[in-house]
Amino acid sequence: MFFRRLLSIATIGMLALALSGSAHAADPVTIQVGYGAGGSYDMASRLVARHLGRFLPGNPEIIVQNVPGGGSIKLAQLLAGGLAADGSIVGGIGPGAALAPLLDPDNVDYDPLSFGWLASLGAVESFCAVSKTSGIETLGDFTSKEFLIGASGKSSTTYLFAALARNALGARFRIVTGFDGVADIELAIERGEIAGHCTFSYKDLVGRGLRDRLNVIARFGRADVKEYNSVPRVSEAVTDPLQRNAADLIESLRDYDFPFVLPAGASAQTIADMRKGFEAMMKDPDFLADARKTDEFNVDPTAGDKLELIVAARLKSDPTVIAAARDLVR
Amino acid sequence: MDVVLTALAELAEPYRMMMLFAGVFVGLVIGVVPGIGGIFGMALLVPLTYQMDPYSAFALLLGMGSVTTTSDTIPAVLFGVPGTVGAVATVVDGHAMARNGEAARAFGAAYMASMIGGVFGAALLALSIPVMRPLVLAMQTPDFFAVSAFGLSMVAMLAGSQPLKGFAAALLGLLASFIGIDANAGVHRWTFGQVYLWEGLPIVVVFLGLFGIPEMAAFLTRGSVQANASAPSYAGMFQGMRDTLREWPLVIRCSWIGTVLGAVPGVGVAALDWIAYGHAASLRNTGPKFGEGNVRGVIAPESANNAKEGGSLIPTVAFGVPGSASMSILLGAFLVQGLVPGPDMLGKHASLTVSMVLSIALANIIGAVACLLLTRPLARVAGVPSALLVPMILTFMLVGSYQTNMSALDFAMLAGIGFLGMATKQLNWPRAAFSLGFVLGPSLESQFFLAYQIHGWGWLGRPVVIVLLALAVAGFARQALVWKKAEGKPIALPAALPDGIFSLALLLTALAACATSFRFPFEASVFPLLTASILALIVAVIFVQTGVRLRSHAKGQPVSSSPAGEWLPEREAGLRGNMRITVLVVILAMLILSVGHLAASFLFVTAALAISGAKSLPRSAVYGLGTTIAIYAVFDLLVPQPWPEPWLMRLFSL
Repeated sequence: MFFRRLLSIATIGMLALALSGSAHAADPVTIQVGYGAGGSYDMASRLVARHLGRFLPGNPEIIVQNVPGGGSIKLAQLLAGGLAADGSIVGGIGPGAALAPLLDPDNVDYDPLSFGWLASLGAVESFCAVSKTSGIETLGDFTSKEFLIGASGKSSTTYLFAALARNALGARFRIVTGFDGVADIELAIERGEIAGHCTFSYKDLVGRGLRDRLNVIARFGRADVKEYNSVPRVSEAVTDPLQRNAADLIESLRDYDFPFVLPAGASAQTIADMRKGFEAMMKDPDFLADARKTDEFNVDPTAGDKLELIVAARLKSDPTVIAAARDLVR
Repeated sequence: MDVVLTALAELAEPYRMMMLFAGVFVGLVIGVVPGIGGIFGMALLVPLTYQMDPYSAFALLLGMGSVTTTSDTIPAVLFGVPGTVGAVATVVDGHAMARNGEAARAFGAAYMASMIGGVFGAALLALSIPVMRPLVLAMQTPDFFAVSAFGLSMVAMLAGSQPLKGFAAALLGLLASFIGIDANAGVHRWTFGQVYLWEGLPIVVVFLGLFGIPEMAAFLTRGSVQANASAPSYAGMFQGMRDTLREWPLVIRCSWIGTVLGAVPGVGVAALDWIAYGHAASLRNTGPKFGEGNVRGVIAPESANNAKEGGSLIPTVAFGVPGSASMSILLGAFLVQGLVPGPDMLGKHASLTVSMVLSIALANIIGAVACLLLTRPLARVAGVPSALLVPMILTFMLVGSYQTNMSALDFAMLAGIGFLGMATKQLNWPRAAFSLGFVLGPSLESQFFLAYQIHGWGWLGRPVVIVLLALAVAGFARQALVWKKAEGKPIALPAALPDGIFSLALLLTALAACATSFRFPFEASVFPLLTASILALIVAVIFVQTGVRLRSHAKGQPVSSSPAGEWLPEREAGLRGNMRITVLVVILAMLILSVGHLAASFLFVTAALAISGAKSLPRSAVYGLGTTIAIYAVFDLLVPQPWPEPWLMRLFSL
């Protein structure tokens, strides 16, 4: 009797061990994305998840996990300490995460250079545009009239760019914060409750046909926007050199958008393998075709080593420029 | 008409119907398993649709999304564990019915209500297609605020036999909802330096803790769900279905509530089913009191939560503004399909839009019929001993909680909220009121500030705002009369000493919240400060009342008749159940963390069944294996997850 019980306990123990072992036999790679499901960063991460596996050693399966919070700052904070840096986790963060420790030192403390920067997928331009019914047609109207511009929370790009436009241009519009997202803001524009926002993309204007209903006033970023290249850039409208450098710092955020990183502490080999995989993927015709189908951004990749230098250069900006930048987005 | 026929013909293709059925199947499974819901299912299925044509894609997605709120009734009724956040209101009366031996009747009523509600929501969606855009454009930000405020006024109906406690519970729920990074100013409110709290308290874990854990404790004490083990019959189920048909005005009204609130941004499924429940409670009722197993308390939320799918598609299709979280994922599917929400969906792609309506309607019918067919075997579970069931259900609850953040803090949160749930249940602080405050808090705050920033105070003059706020006041006034009438009648009250200690703890919490919210910037502090101050005031009154009661108690004055409504104290036996469930939760949590969710499921269920003597050791192992396979099927095969490495494995790999 005792023996039989012992035997069954041993069997159970073996089974349990086998189960716990088999559950972790295959080593999939997880892309943790710092935004909720459905948004453009989520879509970009799922796009990468569908292709990256083919270009990594052992062709691992890739899973996407949403870790939303604080516009990806939550994920960045997690990436800076505690997450496995053996290549099993890749972080999909927003470009603002690289500057957040400078712009919001009270709440954010991590070193963006501790991450293994892998690649950024594209450059995203932004436009300030207002509805035609608002009666604002020129940059002059935009800076002199009183009206409302919509934004999400104060740490979101919608707010950063609107605040930058207002403070850099000395405009008088008010920024309404607290919208749920860009779609929510655009509905309020359509209802006539607010005039516009400052994160329209070229695709919004042309692809979605919004240009018929909007006056495009100003733009941010280095991307080529064809017929809108003549629209004034916000940083170019600033004359004071310090202010201009500060405006440049913010404005260039989305020049290297959709960045992917490894958690802090990854070995040089892991980083090199992963960078190679990203580089090969971003040249792959299947990936490019799928990206066009997903249609969230223009693929305009930047390799990891170059991206790291860019991030480092930004972080080493003159403290007075950083202070001015902080004021510009207040 | 042409458009409808085209849509019907397109959808009738075998592959598309297959996708619809597949969606319904996945939706039913996801609904039953606590901890995962429709949002999760959407995220899971969207990638599969990239290679499909739009008709199949939306048949699959909407088929899934439409029925999670049908099957989530099953664990809600049987065990008091909500399958998704949309079934929390169903727990209150549905589970009470199961305890009274009416599980089959509750199921019959719930599925019938789900089906009618779902089809009604789809019909309203269809009718609104031509007027969708002007309809949505007519609603402005202040109106959204007024809707949320009206919803919150339903707390009067949920306040229970001690209204002050009801208000306090609602305010506590509001306060809890403000934890996290505030959406407006980006300030950290009560995150205590924990990254875990940045996004606020995880709603799934909150509801599993608040309702699931205490019900499990009570279940353990009682021995089985229903006291008298009468065999469930189809007669009960048909009676439930007839109940729903007889109550058709209620079904229609709650379907309206579901559809309209589904279309309003910010009012999620978790809020609208409480609002429907509160509405039903405010009407003249026959039968048992609400909270004691009134079938209307099941019919109302079940018709509303299935109707919402149609409603939340309205702004999604017309403007690309998602009416709910799962709709924002659906929006991703639109873009992949090359569809742009807006006028085209009502013109060029009208047949696709109609096929979505049909998908929702069909899915609701298929889902409800499937569930009805399963009713008898399911209702039989109500007679199974708790010693056998509790370990298995607990395993699903804990694994479901763990997958929300994959953090040990998920368990701490579940245990903490579970403790709050057990205390409030014992001491008559209505959990329903807490829930309503918790789910409406964020939208109340953000919509108020949006309205204020855009319109100043001028928005108070908008007709919709005036009507809704007047309705809220009227509802409150009417309920106040009821309370006035009941005044002086002796009612059952919980033991004074623990109640006093609990209210003192709440008072200190509220005062601490007041003191700390001063430090937030103005726009982030107004709501928390206001909420915390009123809470402090009310709790102080309750504390004094309890103190007086304690003294008169000591003098030997008589107390109490029998308890009423949602409140179900369980005295010493209940306390023992609470202790046992707490121990089980801690053991299982430690197991999951140290050996992983699969091995833990097996070891825990096997050991628990063998030790409690529910089954012999070999048989226990069979049950353990079965549970493990089910967990593996849901959390690894159906939804592959990046499970963190268990502690023991980490030790070995070092």
